[in-house]
Amino acid sequence: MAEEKKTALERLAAEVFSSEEIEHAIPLLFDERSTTPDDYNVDYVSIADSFERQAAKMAAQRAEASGLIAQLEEQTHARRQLLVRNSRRYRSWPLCELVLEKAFDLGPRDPSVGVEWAETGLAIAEQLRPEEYGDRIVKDFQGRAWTVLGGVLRICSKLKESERAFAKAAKSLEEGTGDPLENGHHSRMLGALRLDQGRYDEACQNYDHAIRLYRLIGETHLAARATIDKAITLGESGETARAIELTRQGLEHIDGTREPRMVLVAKHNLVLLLEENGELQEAVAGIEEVRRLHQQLGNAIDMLRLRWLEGKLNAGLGLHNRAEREFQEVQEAFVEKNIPYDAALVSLDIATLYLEQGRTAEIKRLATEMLPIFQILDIHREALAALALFQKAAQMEQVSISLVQQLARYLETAEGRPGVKFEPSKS
Amino acid sequence: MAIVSRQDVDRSLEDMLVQMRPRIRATFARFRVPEQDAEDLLQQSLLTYLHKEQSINDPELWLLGTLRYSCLVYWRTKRRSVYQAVDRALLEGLAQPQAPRQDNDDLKRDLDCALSALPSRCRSVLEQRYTYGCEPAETAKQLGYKSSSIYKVIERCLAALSRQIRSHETGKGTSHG
Repeated sequence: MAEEKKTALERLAAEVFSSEEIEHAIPLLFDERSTTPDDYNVDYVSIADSFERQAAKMAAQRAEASGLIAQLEEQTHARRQLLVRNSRRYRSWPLCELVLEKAFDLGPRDPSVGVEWAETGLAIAEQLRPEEYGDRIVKDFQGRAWTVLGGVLRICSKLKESERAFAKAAKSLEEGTGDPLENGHHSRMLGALRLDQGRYDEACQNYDHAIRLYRLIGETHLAARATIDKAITLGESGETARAIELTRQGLEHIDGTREPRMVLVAKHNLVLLLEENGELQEAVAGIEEVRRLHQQLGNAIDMLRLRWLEGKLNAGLGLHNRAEREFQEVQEAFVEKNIPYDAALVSLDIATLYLEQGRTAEIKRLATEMLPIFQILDIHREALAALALFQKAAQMEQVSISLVQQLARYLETAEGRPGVKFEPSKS
Repeated sequence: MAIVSRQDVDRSLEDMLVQMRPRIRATFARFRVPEQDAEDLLQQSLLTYLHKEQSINDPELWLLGTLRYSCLVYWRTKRRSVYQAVDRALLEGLAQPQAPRQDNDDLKRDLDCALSALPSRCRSVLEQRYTYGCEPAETAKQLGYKSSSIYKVIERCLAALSRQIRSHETGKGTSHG
């Protein structure tokens, strides 16, 4: 008995637990015999035949799914849930796929409706029959459903619920087929949650994992997209130079025909990062193309962000009057559209302009006007307290560039995180 | 490797498999997956492909990457089963009073010797888990680790312990030889 245990321990000693050795060490433990490609005499033709028959059946199920989703679209959320839980005809994986795609697309535009559709997708995934599709495939769909739900809950700023959904997704995917594409999506969307939680290192780890999985299956576009997401994380955590490098890397591999908007997002971010990093000439050189992309692809909010970026560049170039006009125009529009955090950030850009010109009285006026506006907007208590602190400093003529920068960094990360307090450093 | 569009590879599964055959076989050989298990992995990957082909951009690259990943997961699962077996063996070996006394003493002496050479943090983890018989969650709580990462910590400590035992055994062999 003791000998057996020692043997087991000796086996462990052969680096069983080292992931670097896994390809070589573990097979040796289980099978001393080396293998060559000729050892695998799988009958590919008969495997292909059996799967092609199955593929024809699946194509029919796919065709039926578009009709089923149209029926679901006519129902209320509650009725939809009832239908998919109780009627056999809705227990179909192509329908599950379509519903989850709908939830994913709706998420950024209408998050609460996105959550409802993700819940419908989850209800369908939970009704899928393992005996019909296979246990692991069903687990994959459940994993995807939890991932999409986690993603839309994050957009709704419901971070705790989102965390729970991602944990359930991970568990389901662990029991699934191990499809790298599915696991890559999970890691990338979890990265976005970690970013919102301010857990930057973990976010970067998630993005790195997603990038590795996407590259493994030749998905260079998705890997580039995750690289750009990682760059956004680094930008928010203050690692601007690295963020610039990664955004450029991502842009090299983004497939603009597949996702044109991603090119716009990355190029806009690149100009913004260059400006923040003090590389003004390069930023100015890039703005023309960003402007052209916004005109082609941008929506109303995107156009405001372009105007904001132009204001930042003009401020950097010393064109203060022009920058001030642009900032004020953008700030008013953000307030009007109830986008309070960005409105507050533009106000801080105006405050910086005033500081640079020594316009102390106007900083006081700006701070006094800001607070009541944000009190009526949807902004959490700690963020309001930070703005009140700014107002107090303005009254005492103690606003510095450093304070404005710290407050801006705080507001960039505070949205959706009501518990986070503003704690300015003494310097 | 160049990206190939869906249209370029839109052909029958049979054509695709026949063309990919050398690369599939090379993948299985590289990972030394037993033939029967290799066929299962291929079938599972194809089934997954059929369910997800709408979202797969390049079927060939996806299939090869997925097979490679499946082989890794296959061995990782085996690794976990070894870890669980050793974990069980250690717990039984150190806790069972009815085990033959001489065997138990030998094992304990080897373990004590190997343990004493480990970093104190690692020693504490293994002592909590195997000397005091704490569950992983309890071990995490006692030593301030996250419960989500305790299994990995225990695995790493076990690996370090195993290396120590192995070097101790090798040393004994050398001195006797």
